[in-house]
Amino acid sequence: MKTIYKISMRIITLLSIMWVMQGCLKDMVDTTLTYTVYTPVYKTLQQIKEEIKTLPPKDIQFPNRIYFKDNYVFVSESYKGIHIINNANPASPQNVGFVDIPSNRDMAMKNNTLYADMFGDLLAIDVSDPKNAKLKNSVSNVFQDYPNYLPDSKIIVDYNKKDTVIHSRSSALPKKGEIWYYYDNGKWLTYSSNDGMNQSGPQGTASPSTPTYGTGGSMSRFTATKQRLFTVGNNNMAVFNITNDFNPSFVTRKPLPWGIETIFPFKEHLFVGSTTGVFIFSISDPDQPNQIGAFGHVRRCDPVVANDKYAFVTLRGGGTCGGNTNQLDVLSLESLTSPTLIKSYALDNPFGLSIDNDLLFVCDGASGLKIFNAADVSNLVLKTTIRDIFPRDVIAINGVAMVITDKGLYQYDYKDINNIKLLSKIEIRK
Amino acid sequence: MKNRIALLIIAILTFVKSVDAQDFNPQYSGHFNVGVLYGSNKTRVQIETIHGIEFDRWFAGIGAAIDDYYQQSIPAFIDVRGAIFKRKKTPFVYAEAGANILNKGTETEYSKTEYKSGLFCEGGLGYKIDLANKTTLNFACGFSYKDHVENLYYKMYYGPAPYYHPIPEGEWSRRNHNKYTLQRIVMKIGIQF
Repeated sequence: MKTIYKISMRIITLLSIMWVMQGCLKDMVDTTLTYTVYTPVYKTLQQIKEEIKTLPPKDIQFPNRIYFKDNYVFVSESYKGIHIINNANPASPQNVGFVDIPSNRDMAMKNNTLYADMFGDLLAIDVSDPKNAKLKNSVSNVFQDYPNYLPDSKIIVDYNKKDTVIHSRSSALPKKGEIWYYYDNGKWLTYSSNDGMNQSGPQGTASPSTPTYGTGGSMSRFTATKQRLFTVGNNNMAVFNITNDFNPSFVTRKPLPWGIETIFPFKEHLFVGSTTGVFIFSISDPDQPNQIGAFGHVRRCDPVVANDKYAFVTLRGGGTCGGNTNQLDVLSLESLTSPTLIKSYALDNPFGLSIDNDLLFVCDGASGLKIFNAADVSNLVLKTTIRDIFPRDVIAINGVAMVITDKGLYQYDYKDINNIKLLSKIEIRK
Repeated sequence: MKNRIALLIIAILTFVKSVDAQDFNPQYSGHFNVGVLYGSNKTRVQIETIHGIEFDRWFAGIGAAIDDYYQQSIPAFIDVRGAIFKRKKTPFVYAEAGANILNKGTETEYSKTEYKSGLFCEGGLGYKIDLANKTTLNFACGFSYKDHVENLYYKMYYGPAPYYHPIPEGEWSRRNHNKYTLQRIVMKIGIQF
């Protein structure tokens, strides 16, 4: 009994000491916050339009959309403009120049005219001489869900950057398990220039009798076909008549459900990808696209490509796309009014895709570029995977796959599918 | 703080080395302890196991613990302890020092957390009571320290409309570097075998 009493007293003593000392303890956190202050640079709309021309080539920093026409690859630099790359020799692509278009994200081409968005405006730019691109015309305030401006207002075209580091020391507070994102901090990257090369422009004239169109990536929101430019916003499709290349005119706008992401043309149809499904439009009357079919799916991000018989849709989950599943859906287009799911294939983190005959190219994020033999859509065979890149969109055409990756524009020769070769790469420089 | 703990460990090791060679008769011994960690954050549990050799009144070994305080981690450490008296019931001192190991972190589409392992140190006083079959019941109370670094990165996301922002989407564009220093009082109960 005496021993128990002694032990108890010692424990009580220890607890008392701990209780007293606990007040002396303080969990601390030393924080180094690295952030950047951006001061906007303003220009008037008139100044901006006067300055739309080919500048010397710039390094690719944040590639977004990709477009291919004739021997040229056009790569949009997020919110900044468009790189023009002469790809006559894919093994040695030449960066010809950069067209400065603030806020630009999308583009499409007919003949030698590049159609691009700038804020809410549609621009028609003559690129018959890529070294000397010229703004020919614009249609004002046609993209409803893009940020607009007042006619006389100044527009932010750039930001001056100042890096700042703050050190602080504070109590380490309990974690809540929640992270909030800020919308106005981050890293601003400056341009650097290279000398360009004189190159001839894309083939064709300003208005040839037979119009020629380019090929856009599957993530594109613009496409040109049948003398029309079709663009999709978040909840609508706009149609522009581009019969006169340099003078696009707004025709109509069709309301669509929210979550519209991509548009892909195939023959007499448009395939519109949204977060909730794929919509099929007939453009037999191109001024009035008519929705003839749809295929719904759970909420995901989903670019789509198609051929005569099938549509291929990648569904990416996570983040703003919703859900967690990642897959490739193959749809039968036997009946365009009611496409049916043939089979789903599991993927890791799919983005854009492209099809060339029986070869299906899928950008599967960190898992690389996957190339499937799609001769039997019920049994896609993975032929090869190009790893060590994070591909986001791909155009596969004439044996050359042009891939926008986290490292830049990579091009692969897939004429021999069993021996795919890296032809060239224009690497991102930040 | 770290300097004081380091000095304490050096002093103990020096003392251990000074033990008369005639007393040196090492035998395997293990510890299993469960402790409670008190600090300015929420009280949590520590579970540890230590294995080493015991000689005379001294013990030296290596151990690992699960430390749930503030940020769960796995300290891996060297433990040295010595009894004050050569009796069945005696106070003892102990010191532990090593690495505070954390997982690599987590990554989602728009945020990333990286952890870097830090230092773990602990020292204190205890009381041991010999039970039957070379088993000892230990009570201990001490000061425990651990630190680690946390790097937070964020990606920009502007919503569905293509607003003109200076930072394109998809970059880890913001960074917080946090070094946490966590001080606790620890109270343990355990078995030595």
